[in-house]
Amino acid sequence: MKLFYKILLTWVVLSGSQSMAADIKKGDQLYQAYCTQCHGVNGDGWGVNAASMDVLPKDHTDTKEMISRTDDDIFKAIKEGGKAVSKSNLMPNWDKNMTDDEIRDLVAYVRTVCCEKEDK
Amino acid sequence: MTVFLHFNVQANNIEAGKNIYQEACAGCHAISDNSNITISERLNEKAPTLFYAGNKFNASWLEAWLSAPKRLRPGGHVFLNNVKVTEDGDIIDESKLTAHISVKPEQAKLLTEYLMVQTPKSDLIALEKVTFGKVNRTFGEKDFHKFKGCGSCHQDENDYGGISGPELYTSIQRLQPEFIASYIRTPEKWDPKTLMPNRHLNDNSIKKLLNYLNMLSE
Repeated sequence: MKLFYKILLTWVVLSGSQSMAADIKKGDQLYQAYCTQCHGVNGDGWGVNAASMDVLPKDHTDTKEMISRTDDDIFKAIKEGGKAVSKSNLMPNWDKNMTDDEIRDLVAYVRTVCCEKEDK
Repeated sequence: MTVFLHFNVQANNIEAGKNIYQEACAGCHAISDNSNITISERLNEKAPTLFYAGNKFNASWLEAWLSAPKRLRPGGHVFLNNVKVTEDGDIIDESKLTAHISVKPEQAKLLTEYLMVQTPKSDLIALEKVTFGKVNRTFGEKDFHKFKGCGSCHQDENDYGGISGPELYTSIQRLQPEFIASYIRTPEKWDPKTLMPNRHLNDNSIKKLLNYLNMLSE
């Protein structure tokens, strides 16, 4: 099973390399600005708004869950909202707040939160 | 002659209001064009822009509030600057929130006169026609929280709802209805680095939200 996750993780990292130009530092800033209000400063899904929400925001530190999502899935969820990827409508579309390039930076940052940890 | 005198008094009041703004408000509130603001600048803002104050506020509310201000944003202007990470989740560090200054009623009047002539976005306001209608409270609440997701960031009653955005249970008293409609429709045209998403709502959806906000104020 561990091997399976390693293979998946390798695939995730390799697919991420398609967007080598993505700027993780910029993505971090965008994440702090737009995402942390619900997903939390550390990305664990416990942002300042989470307590009063009907649906808990996704925990971006959940490696198992997040490696099952492709970069395209995450990009689509951010740009078009949760509904576009069959998730909660409470995740809004951010298409008018960020450019596609900025969303790609954000996806690259989300990958560092979810999937670039030590294998425990 | 009377008209000329009135105009003169008003011009003097606006000038006096501008002086008060520069002395008491400009340290935190910008009033210049925000069209090219960067995300870093936006996150470092100490207080909301007053660039389009005259297109935004109800004058009577503004004048009264400036003499006796109450917190409108539970998390502060930029919630991120006031967040504390705890084992139970992120919270707002209340010790970081500062009270808004208050001014004397005569200063509030002059400030309001000055702020209400800041109307660079009247073209956006002119696109909106708001007439209030009836709303069912249960549906309105569901629409606000569940269907449109407004309640994730905004409170529709004291201590209920999200805290990263301004509370909306007094929004109809403080804001021009056309401003609310326009800000829901195209928030990025008011504040290019707003933390509010444009949910591409149609006229009917915006109307329903306005009706609900109006009901809250009654």
